[in-house]
Amino acid sequence: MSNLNRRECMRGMLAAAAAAVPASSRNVGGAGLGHAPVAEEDKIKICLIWGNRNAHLEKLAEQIGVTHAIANTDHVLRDVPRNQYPDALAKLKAGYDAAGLKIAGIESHPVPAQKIKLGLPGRDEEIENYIAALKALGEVGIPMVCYEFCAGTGWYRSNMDTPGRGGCSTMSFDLQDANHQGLTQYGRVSEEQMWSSMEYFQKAIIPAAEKAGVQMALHPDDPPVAELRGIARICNSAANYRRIMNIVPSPINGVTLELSVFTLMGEDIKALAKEWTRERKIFFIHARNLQGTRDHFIETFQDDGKIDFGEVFQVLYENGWRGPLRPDHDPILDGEKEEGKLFDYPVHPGYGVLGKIFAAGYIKGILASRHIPYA
Amino acid sequence: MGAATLAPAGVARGAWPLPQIPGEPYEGWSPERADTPKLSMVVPPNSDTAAMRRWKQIGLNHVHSSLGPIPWTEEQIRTLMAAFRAGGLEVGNLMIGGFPNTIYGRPGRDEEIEKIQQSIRAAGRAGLPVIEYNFYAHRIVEGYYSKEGRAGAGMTAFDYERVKNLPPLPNEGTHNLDEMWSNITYFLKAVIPVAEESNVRLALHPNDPPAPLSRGSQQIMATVDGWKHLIDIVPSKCNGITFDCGVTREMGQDPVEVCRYFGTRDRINHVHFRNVQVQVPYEEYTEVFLDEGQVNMFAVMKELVRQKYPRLIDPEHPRQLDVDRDLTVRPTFYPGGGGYVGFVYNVAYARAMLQAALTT
Repeated sequence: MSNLNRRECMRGMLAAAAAAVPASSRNVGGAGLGHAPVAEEDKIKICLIWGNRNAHLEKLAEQIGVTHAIANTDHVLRDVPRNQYPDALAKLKAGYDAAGLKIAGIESHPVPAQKIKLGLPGRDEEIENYIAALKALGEVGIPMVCYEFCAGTGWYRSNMDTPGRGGCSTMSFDLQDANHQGLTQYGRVSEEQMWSSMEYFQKAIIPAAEKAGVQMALHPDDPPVAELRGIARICNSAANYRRIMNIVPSPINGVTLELSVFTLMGEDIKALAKEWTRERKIFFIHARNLQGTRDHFIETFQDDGKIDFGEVFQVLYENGWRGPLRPDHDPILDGEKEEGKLFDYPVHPGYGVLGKIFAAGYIKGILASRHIPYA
Repeated sequence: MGAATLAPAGVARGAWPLPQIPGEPYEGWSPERADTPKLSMVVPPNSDTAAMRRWKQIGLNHVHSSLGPIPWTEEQIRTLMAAFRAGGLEVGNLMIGGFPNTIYGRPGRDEEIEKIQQSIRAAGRAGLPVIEYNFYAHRIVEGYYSKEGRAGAGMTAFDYERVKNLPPLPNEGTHNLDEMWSNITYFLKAVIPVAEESNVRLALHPNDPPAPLSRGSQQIMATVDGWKHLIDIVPSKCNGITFDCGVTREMGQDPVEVCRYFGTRDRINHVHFRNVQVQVPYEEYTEVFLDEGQVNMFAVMKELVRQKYPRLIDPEHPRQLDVDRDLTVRPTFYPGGGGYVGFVYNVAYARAMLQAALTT
């Protein structure tokens, strides 16, 4: 037998032997469990977000095995008349398709929504735009909107450059420090006003989203304090979430389970994971970690904070959750901080490149250790 | 090991000390303790503060390295360890080399062995727990070549066909198994008693690539049977191996079983943690990302934890990512191999495996 034949023989034998290897001895990473290939819909989808498209970073993401993305349409749709939304979104999606990335959803609102959140004049125009955007999102096949309702301030930190592990640059929050900054340009906004704005929004948007076939995944107020710099916050407890989702009940009216923020609320995130997965309310997971409490905390890497993600992922998966997940924030590592950019991608707090590579590796390792298939 | 950088036991994860914000850097929760495995990376001995910060930031508290020509002195080793300790890193292993006469069984080997013994004693006095070494006539790195993986990431592939007929090198010659076993036996009988007295464990690295013939010479550490024979030559925990689950799979063996064999005998003195896709054992394989490949990495990690293996785990051989091709933070050695950024991914994945193995 010639050498070539011998090798072919060995390869054939090996393939047969590999097929006979018991599942326990085979890798349980993204390739699936045991012999049967895992269907896409049975996998957790790890996503990364690049606010502005960047070919280098998208290729890098694919090199570490991440093929799902979270897009942003606010900057695409804000300067375009409503009747051009379908074209604009089709172009956006085509760009991601060409890069080999699947859009799992968008963050945050599809169009500007500050007036909606604050209940200001002009909100009806924003709502018209929102409804048109939802219709266009549905048509182009973008299935989910991760939205927030932090009027005026957005997600907020009192310090954007706090020394973390090994001297990396992370973010922290201290309520006293934050309130020392005083009121914002929006002055005082009461809790009543926020509930009123939210009800108005829910009644206008949820039916439109349902019609368009787009899931609305409410992201909690970050941090989930009662009031920040004079503006009340209401998306800051599980009880409030239930109240919000009941304003206009719908199968598309759901939650972004931001694991660190719900932890800051003092909620039992494993219990919520179970309850809301069973109710089919969790459309998106954010997995960043932290140390501290609601009024005084520091953001950490995914591995060295107080949350044990393996425990939560286990609860989600065994109750049937199969959605998109993204690592959210990570500290900025050395090299990126001085340069300020990697591949001409302007690094900003929570969003360096090296931290995302770390996060993706860690999350995959955690999922693999729990035998949870992922894409 | 590494007491200065390990956290106190008994502090719950949620109650981890939080510094004044902003103030001292937050140190980060870790389950690594004296009796658990510890992640580590191979680093240059003259690493500067900037380099040490990069490794601390990705959560490493341990490193391994090498020193210059033998004999090593106690002061040399202490100085090296102190330099890393100042950066929050504990040196857990140093690789020793530069003893060709011993390997080839030539005149002059006794002088080399004398220097190795001195180095082991120095290590013992300095508190270095592990010394790693190689024992091959020729390492057939010529068989490595670069292959493209997902989205063009670099894989390191090996093909024996390309190199099986390479001629011997004049300074190496050819050596068969009997000869090499005889040479290593001579070596071990001289150094292991010293290692025992000094409380230093030796770790022999497997032949990597585990090719049957390497420029005409056979390789004693290219089979699991070879590894088993090695530890029987001198029955001592100081006579141990570097357990490499990737090489194990390249040989067509079950890494968990092999880990159990050597772990239960307390002969695993260092660990290499990498994954591989094998087409023909010993001859044709591709080193891939940790999350793909034929090794069940979590099962290996669980076995190490089950064995209460307390020394280092090196998630080595990073894949080549685009950013490593462009940056020169850490130049790559292997074709298709990566640098710092590839390591970031490996360390994170291995950390997840280690945390999960320790806490579930």
